[in-house]
Amino acid sequence: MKYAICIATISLILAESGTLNAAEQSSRSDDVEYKLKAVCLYNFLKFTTWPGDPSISGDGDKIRDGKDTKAGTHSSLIVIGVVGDDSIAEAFVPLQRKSARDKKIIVRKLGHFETAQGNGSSKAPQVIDGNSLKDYHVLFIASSEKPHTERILATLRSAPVLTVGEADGFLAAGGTINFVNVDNRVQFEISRPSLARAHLVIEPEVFRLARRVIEDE
Amino acid sequence: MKYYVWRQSAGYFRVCAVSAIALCLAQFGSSALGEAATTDTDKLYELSLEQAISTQIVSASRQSQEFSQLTAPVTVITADDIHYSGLTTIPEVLQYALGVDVFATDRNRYAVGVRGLHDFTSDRVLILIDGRRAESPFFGGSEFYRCPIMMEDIARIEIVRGPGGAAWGANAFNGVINIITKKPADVQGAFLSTTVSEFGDTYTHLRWAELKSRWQYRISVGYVDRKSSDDAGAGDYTSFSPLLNDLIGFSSYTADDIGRALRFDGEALYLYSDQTQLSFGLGYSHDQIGSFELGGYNPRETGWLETGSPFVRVEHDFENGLTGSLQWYGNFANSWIPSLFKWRTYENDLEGQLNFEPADGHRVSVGGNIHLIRVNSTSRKPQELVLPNEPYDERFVGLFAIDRWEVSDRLTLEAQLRGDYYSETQTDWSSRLSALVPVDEAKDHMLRFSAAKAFRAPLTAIRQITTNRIDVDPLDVIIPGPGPYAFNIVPNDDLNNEEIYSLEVGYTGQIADDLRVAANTYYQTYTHLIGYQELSNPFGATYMPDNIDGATAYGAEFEVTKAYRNAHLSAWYAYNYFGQDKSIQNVRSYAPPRNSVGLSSRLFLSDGFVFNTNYRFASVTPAPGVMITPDVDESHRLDLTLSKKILDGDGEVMVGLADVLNNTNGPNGAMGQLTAFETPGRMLFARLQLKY
Repeated sequence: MKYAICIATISLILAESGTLNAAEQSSRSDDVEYKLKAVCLYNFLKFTTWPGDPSISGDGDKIRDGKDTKAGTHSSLIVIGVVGDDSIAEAFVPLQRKSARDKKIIVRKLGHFETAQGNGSSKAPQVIDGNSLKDYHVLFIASSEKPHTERILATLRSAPVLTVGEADGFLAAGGTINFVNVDNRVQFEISRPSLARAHLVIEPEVFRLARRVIEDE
Repeated sequence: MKYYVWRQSAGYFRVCAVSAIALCLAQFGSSALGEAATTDTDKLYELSLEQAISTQIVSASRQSQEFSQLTAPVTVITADDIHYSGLTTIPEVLQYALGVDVFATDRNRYAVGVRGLHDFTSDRVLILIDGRRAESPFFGGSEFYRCPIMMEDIARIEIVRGPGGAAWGANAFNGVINIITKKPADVQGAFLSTTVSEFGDTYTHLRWAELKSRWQYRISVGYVDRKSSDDAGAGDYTSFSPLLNDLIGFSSYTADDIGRALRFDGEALYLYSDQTQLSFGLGYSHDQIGSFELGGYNPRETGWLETGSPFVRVEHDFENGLTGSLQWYGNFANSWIPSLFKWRTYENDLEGQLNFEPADGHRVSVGGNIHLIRVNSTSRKPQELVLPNEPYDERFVGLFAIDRWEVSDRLTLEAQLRGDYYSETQTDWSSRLSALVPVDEAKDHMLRFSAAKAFRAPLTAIRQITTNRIDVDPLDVIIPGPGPYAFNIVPNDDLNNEEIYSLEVGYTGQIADDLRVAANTYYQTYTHLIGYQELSNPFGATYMPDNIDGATAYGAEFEVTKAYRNAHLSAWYAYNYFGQDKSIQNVRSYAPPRNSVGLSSRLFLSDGFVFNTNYRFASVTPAPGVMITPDVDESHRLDLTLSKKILDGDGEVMVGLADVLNNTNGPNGAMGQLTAFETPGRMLFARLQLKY
């Protein structure tokens, strides 16, 4: 039994010491789910090619304001926009510490999508102009935005934007990649037609891991 | 728009408890190639895409609820447990599981049991691969060395402790071991794994899997080469009956227990429609194993075994929530073990199952199967086993029903009932009645009360075999040969089934988000246990199988699992008492060790290193009754591995030291062996894995 006590003691010491330097662990399964989706999205970036450099300004605020931006040469950036609650977008923020295909990653929290009409109040919610969404390389659209998904995707129909969602019917509405929750795991599905419309190329490694692939419409 | 949604068939046949198992894999267990065991932000963002989609989304209450919904005590060995152990045989992995007792008699043959009753030929545990029988149809015991399956193709191993009841099939006596394989969609791409030991053993596995539109398939081939105990620095022989040494030629014995295997395992799934999925596959194994002594006969020749296991299955979703499946599978084996004889077995099984919800709160499964067995043999030498009146054609026909009733939010009842007709003994039944009671509103703490009954039918080898072994009159002075011999078995075709009755109380608790505790106590009674009675014979020992008497067993099992940010720890303890009704009663197997302990740890270190330890202690394993072979000594075993991801996660290297604490093990003999030899202990090994 002395062997058992030694092994248990050593293991406990090593395990406990490993907890001292890390950030506090989140116990909410939702947090984990969105972090895993962010990780998947980061991995998609590594295998995705855009048609040249998109007309993205290096200034995120200009994008948020919907102002025209000049077609730039900021091919050193991949800009990810997250449409939905800010707490969801938080899961994607750590991607800014990483790069993909030698490109720096920028994450923008776009909040909830509202119609351009707003409600006339000076305190109207932030409005996302559908046209400005074309300036992003990647758009993650949370399930809370499902009522607006079709409109968003229609606006982006042939824009070189990798649209990623997490709601039923996302691919049918024209989205490119959709997350699904299967047996307590994050899985994803891809639409080849949507990829082709956006003139994006994703390498076969990603398709191999997809739960389903839409081949045609 | 065309799209294909794959059915989440787990490749096995049972609902209820088994479905819950599929959903409740420990937050700390997952697919192979290194899932991060924690939710630490930094660690998660280092995952590859394959790792990310393999990682479970942990929900404390949901997990504990799923695990606690099981109506039997179950131990699960995950793919990660197998992967990080670095071990290349299923019995070696099983020994670290709560409730499983294992010891090796040589480098190929293991005695494996659940709560004891284990021996090389023991038939008290039901062995399944994806729900299909994988035990010997000849004697009913496990033959892991000929299973056509590679270690990294195993998604998990589910071990049910206690009578299997209706859920798992006839003859689920003391326990069930169900080996679940990975689905092709979960392991897409190419995979290569090769392990080399300091003794020169090699274990090589090559796999290709693909998901393409409506199809997904997996093909694995493997080659195993295990050196003999002699070549591995062990092999010291011991005789348990020195007076017979000259008769059996003991002085010339050498430990030639080599093992070589060529394996193939393929599976394909086809999505015929959104409601219908077809799957089929073939497993094949060709094995060579070294000779061993049994009953004083050791021909010292290498034997071989061939096994083919095809299957076809259809699953369909009907309307109104009705689902069903229909499956045929076969096991076809051709074997020659020099210590035994040459024999062939043919198994065909046809089974069907329907699942539906007839009323609010009720989930029902009904089904049945027909299982046909043919055994025939060739005996060449007088010392070999003889099956008089062969070939044997036998059959099982079974029907079962399971009802899981959610009576209220605070009570779930489950009833399982199964009846089986066996052409050679009798019609019998098995059952399990369970109640699940949550202690708290969140169902983080659950109590389980169960009563179960199962049976074990004696197969051909037990009822029909006759054998002559040691010739006490080699010069034919007393009586012209062949015979009489010093070790004989005579058949008895008038045997009844063995029966087991069990009462169990269990508790599972999610103490904290990352701490889970399980406890279980049981009381079991056995009746009509079959052992070997010694008959009077002036020329030597003669044994006959018979329903001698019963036994009583009781015990307690405790398990705790804790996840840290960078580590996973688990520990268990089991107390098992087994007592025959007659003190000198032979029960054809060993009793469980009175006390056993297991400890496992997995540490995720920096730079992609993973350090894994497995430890097990077992007290003396008694050999009940009058048996030739002695008790198995108390044992400790410690395995260590250190692995590291390479090539951006597309590869992994591992070094390991198995059985650190022992130079050699044993000698441990199987029932009926007059001799045994030491097997190697401490072993250094290295492994390389690549995927594309």
